[in-house]
Amino acid sequence: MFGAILRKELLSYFQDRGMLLQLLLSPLITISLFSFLLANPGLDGLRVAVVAPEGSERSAVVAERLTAANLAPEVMTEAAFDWAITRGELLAGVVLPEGDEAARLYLSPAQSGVAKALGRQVEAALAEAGASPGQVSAGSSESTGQISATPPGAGLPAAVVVSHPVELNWGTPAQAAEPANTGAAGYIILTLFFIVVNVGQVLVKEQTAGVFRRLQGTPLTGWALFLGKWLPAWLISLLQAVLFIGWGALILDLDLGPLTRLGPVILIVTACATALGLWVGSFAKTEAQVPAIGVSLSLALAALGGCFAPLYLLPKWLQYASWAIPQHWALVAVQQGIAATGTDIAVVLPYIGILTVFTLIFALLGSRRFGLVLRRR
Amino acid sequence: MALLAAQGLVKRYGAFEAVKSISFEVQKGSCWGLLGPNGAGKSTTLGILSGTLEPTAGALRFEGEDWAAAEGARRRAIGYVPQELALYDSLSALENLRFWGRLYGVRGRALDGRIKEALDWVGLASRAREKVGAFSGGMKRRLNLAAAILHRPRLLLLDEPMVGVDPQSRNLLLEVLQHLRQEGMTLIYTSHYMAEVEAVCDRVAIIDHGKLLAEGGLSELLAQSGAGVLVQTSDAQAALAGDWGSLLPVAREEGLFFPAEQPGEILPQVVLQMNARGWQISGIEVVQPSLEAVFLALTGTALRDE
Repeated sequence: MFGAILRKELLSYFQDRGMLLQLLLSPLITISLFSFLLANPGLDGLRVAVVAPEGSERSAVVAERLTAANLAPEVMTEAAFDWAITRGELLAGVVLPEGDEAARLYLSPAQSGVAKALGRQVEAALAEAGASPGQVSAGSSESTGQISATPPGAGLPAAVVVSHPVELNWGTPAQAAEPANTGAAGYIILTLFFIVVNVGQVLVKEQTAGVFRRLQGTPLTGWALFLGKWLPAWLISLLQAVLFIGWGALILDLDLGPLTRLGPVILIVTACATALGLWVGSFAKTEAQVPAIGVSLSLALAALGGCFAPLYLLPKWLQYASWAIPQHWALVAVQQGIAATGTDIAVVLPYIGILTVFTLIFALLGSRRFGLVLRRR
Repeated sequence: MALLAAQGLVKRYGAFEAVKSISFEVQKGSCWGLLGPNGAGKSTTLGILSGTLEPTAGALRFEGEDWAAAEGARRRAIGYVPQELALYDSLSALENLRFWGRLYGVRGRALDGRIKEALDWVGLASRAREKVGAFSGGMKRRLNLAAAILHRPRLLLLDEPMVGVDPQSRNLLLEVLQHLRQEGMTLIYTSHYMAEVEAVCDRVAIIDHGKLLAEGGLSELLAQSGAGVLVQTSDAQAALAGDWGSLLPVAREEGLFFPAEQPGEILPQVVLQMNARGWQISGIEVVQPSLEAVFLALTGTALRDE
């Protein structure tokens, strides 16, 4: 029976070319469109505002130092900086108040990962320019693990002084990941867990058709139905991952760590995502409900798991809540896989273990749910 | 021995009682028709028999075995044709049949043989490799039946299997069902089309509002159908007088009515007797036996939207 479901599901996936194209091509299209977010751009030539009153001598010195550090400084007024950073056109600005006041570095909260690396360079440049480097928090402060929103100067937007990754994050890489690769990890996890929507659509389509009524009359068990649907969905998810990661590594030149480490991580992440998708999808009653439930759930869990922004930007209770979210552990596993040196798999094994537990829980819940749906009372 | 026996079967959804303590037996090799208007409880009853619904109360036995205890064997012994088309549009007819056959444990050459046979029966052998999504409604209905008989069920449940089919497909499906009966398969057939039930079934039950209103052989029910000869004459009440022997007429507003299961057979005798008694016949109507008449008499003529 399980074999019959398995064959039928595989046939359905591979014969429905529209769905297959959607499943396999959409991640490629998206990664191609947003590859600039994932590729490691480096900091060379990055625009940095030097915010100073007109005619400031310090601004010329700082700009010169920043240019020497391969950045692209642009001297501008506070109002211009306010406008530019609010619209996301700039990542950072060095604010040089009048007189002897210390220089301050404002970083865009949305880009704190890249900004951290940038901060180091700016700090060095400011130190050379004699601009009170001690006052520059970014990248240099071994502080508290706290995020502080530094009140801006008049007209300046709220700025985040990035100090250190969140303290409670078990998965903080032993060796800090390159910011661009951290972004890639988040994007990979977000994409892989989006299969919840596709899996749910397939399920609901079947449940609203007469086939499910006939399935209910067969000797089929909840486990056989679940496994028969899970394995093909897992295979499709793996294909997505291979295409997605292969495209990223070969075309976009992303450094995602050795395959010996990334491979097992992707294997368990896709298993977990598809098991979750089947369980959640079984609750949808209509096709219209699937995107509503699937997309909001995927986005919410990805956000809570740290895929969009570092966890330390979240309130502490949400940081703890992330422990209960598989996306968090998947993200950490991929980040670790990317960041660690060598080819040792040990660094990701704890996370593979945690994800295996999640997967088994989802599979158990899914099979029970399928059993209930099959034998309506 | 009855293949299936139901005793006091009840299905409740909260306060609503969809099936109200019905009892019946279905003999091996027979076709038991379950007639009823929309929302009468036919599909709920069939849902219970197909194993997709659990009865709230009552006892069921399959081949003498307790219903729950025999679940695995029972499910393999029952075929189910749901009212909705239970087919995957993206797969071919062949792939659909392979799937449903394997689900019941039929494999290899046995499965290939049965698929070929079933496709021949339903007239789809030449379309086996085409996607079901491209089939007409009638073709899908035929395939829907084929998918349910691959494992040679001992009991085949058919829930309004001919909804929306063309007359040609209906005739073919009826032929297939007759053939299955000849092979010894037991059928339970729900419909609200009397002609289908009359064509296939030998016993019929009429259900409405969850209650079995009548159950018996087709001829027994037809005997209750009000068939007979209606003779229009000047004074029916007066004509009733005297001994009519085996004819047993009743006076009606529109004339003298002579009930009979086969009204054509008594027609000459009625005319002779009327003439012999000197009653002038101003009109005569042969009322044929009809399950529909029984059905309407039992369930009423009010419209059912569900």
